[in-house]
Amino acid sequence: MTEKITKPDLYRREDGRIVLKHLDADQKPVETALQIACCFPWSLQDQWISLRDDKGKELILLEKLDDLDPATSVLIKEEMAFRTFLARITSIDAITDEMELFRWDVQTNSGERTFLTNRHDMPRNLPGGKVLIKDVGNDQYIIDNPGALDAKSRKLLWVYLD
Amino acid sequence: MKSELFKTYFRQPDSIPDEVTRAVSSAVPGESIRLYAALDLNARMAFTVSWAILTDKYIALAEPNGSALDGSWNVRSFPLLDIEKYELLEGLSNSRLNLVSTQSTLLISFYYTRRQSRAVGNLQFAAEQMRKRLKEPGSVADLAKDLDAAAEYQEAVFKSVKDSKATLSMPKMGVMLRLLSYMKPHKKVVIIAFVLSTLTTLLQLLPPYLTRLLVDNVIPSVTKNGSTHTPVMLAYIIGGLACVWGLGELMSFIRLRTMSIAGEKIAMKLREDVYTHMQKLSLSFFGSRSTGSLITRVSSDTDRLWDFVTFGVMDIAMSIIQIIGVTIALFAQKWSLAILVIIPLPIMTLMFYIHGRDIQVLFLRIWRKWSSMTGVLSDVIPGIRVVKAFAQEDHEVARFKEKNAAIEAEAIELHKNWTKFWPSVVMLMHTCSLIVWIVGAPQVLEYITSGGQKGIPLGVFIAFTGYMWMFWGPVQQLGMMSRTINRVTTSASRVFEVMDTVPSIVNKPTAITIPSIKGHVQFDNVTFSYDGVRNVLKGVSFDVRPGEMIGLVGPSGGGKTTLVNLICRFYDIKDGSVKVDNIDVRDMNIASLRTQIGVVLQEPYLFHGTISENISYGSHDIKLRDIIDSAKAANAHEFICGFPDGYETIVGERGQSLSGGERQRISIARAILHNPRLLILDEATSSVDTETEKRIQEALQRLVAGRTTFAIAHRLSTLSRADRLFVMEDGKLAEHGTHEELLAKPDGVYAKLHKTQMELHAAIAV
Repeated sequence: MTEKITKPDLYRREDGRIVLKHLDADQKPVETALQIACCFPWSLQDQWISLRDDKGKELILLEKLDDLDPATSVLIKEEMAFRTFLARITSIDAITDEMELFRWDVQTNSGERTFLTNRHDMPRNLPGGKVLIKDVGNDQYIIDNPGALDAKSRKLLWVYLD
Repeated sequence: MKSELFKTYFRQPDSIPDEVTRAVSSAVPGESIRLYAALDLNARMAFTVSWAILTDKYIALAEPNGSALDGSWNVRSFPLLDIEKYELLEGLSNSRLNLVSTQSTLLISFYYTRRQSRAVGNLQFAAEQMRKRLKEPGSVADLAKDLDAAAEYQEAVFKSVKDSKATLSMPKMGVMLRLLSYMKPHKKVVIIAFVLSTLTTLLQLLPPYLTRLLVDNVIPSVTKNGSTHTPVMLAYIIGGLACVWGLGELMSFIRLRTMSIAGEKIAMKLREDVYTHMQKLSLSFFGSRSTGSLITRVSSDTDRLWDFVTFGVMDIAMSIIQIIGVTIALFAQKWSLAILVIIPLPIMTLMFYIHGRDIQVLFLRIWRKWSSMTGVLSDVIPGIRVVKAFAQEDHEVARFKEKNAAIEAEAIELHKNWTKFWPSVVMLMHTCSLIVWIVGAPQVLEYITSGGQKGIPLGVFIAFTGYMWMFWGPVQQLGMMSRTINRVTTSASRVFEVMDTVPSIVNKPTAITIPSIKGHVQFDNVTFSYDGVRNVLKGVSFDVRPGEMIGLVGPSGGGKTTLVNLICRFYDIKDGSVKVDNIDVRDMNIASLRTQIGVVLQEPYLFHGTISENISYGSHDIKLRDIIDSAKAANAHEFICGFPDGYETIVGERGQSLSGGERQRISIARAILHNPRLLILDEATSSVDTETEKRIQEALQRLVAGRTTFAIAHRLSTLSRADRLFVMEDGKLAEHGTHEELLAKPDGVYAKLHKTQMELHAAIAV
């Protein structure tokens, strides 16, 4: 029944919350502050978006953001920027052996970053040639196209590539 | 020390900057800073450093003033009393903590990466506690009173590094020395072996010298005047050679024998130390590490250390002695030629070093491909029934082929590398010998033509070339050694990491041993979290009389298992107290507490061994009669006798496979025999047939009688038998009372749970 609402009436309240105007079970108009979740945060960031109330109950499941009017889809995309955030590595300055750990000094699209990885926690090759790196604190970093990195970064990374 | 590590590892301030402290104190005057956390993301998901700060009555956010160039800070503050709720949202690698006001509007959001989660979580917890105190003074203890904000913050950020590397402060050299210190008890053997290796090495220097004597002194004397001494000298020299070789073999026999035995003793001691220490460590240690990695540390890591202690150390010593010895010998023969041999030495060492490094990278690549292939195997073989059921054999073969081909490609790279390397090394050696020949051979001719006036005698030259070849072996050995040392220090530090981990649950020096407890259990405002961030129990209080049976119910994740873990003191609590017989469990001797607690787990674990061994596990001085009696009480006797091997049936890994109901009844028999005062039952959710169910219930009834029991229960039959039910929800004791009392509450959690279950039963019955 909920899926029938394909054009949700959303707006951003002055405190920053995204709010849905809809009818409750008794057909009375209500406003609900939303939590927005993505079903496939790794691969499909603008499809299958779940709008839910603060208890996690799904109100609407959106199949495609592009079907929405631009103002609404921008609101949701802003929220998705948080949900699907990963630091994207643009170049690698150094990978230093710290005995049981490796220290990475990298540049990302979010700025400079230094992190540590476990020796046995190898960077993972994702489908499509991407490389995903997990550090000791469970933060993740992605390299979208290792081939496009500069020569030095590529050389440092080479051992981990397929 | 810490601040140094902060700089190296995170490039993040190790404490709050003074400017921020000043900015906060001017924004909220008179307030002192209790705790703080760094926030390393802004709302646009760019890395930055802002600070979340908890003061006495406020939470403040200090952000760098981007537009101003003076490094000033913007501070916004929110009274604790206005913050009704915290909402934690998690992204793929980032988190957002929303502070929500009493009017349920959003006050502010904190953005940060996982690295800061623990510090932010601590801040939130302390803030919630302080708000409680502000609203109702004296309701909770002032947690943040004595905390050192900087130390708490550093500890929180550093935890993840500590978890993956306990030997932070241990430099490579330190690990090596510590490993070598294990040789101390075998000092005598090590010294003997060292002396013997030195002698062996020096003895090896003799044969070329003897050859020189043979060529320069014995043979010419025959050609000149047919001396009668010649046969004697010849005999001496050949005898000398025989002695040198014979002695050499004898000495290496003694050295290898004694060192491998000493090495084995050292490895045994290491394994024993690691395992003994591991048993002392608390559950939290095992929770954060994979079983595989722990097994590796006891088995293959110590094996690698044995190899190094037995052979590696002596090999290094011998190589160095041999290099020194041969160098001296070379110079003693002919210094001008010796220089020719020494010159390529640095090149050679460098070549070995570079090769060692390159090949390590290649090995690493192969190892990755290899583990990705074994990954497919260990994934698919246990799931082979699914593969067959879905007829996916071809798909799985294709998946395997792909991984297998990747290994082949990588291995070919490796073979290309080393097959290229070795000939080039040998070529360099040969080039050296050629140069020595080009320079030396004319001088030998000159010696002969000049009648011994000038040039090099033939014997000297032969001896020289002999020494030259003895030079390359140890050089190569040392070139490769850096890799071995790397591997050994890694293994050693992993082994030492376990030994250096301090058990988090320890007996106090004043710990009380209680021979027999009555089973009176009290929780007083118990708050607990596994990771220091999320509280799994939030202020739980209750009082259970000796012999009472408590049914623990509630949704999963509600805190039922945690509650029983705390009774056993598998973990220590953060706030509040857990008392057994009016004594805080932290003041009790751990062993004396746990031997009086019996546990029947949802998935009973049986060790490899016979059924009777499993039943008597943890009990001492048991008569066979007792084993049979407890098996009877557990309704297990009948089916055990039905096995051809009876009570001597081997179970556990690789043993007779038992059904779930049978395993459970064996573990009930184990608990009955153990005769604990306090009993913990974790009831299985899996369905067994009605007959088995009935037998298990009977067995449980006999077990429970007269003991204080905490049963994590799902079955209605168990629930209705309990004296009281505790409904755990979201870390809190939501409701308690008898079955009937709780059912009488129409809106109660239990009443709802019960209704659902009844409907389910009805549906099945239909």
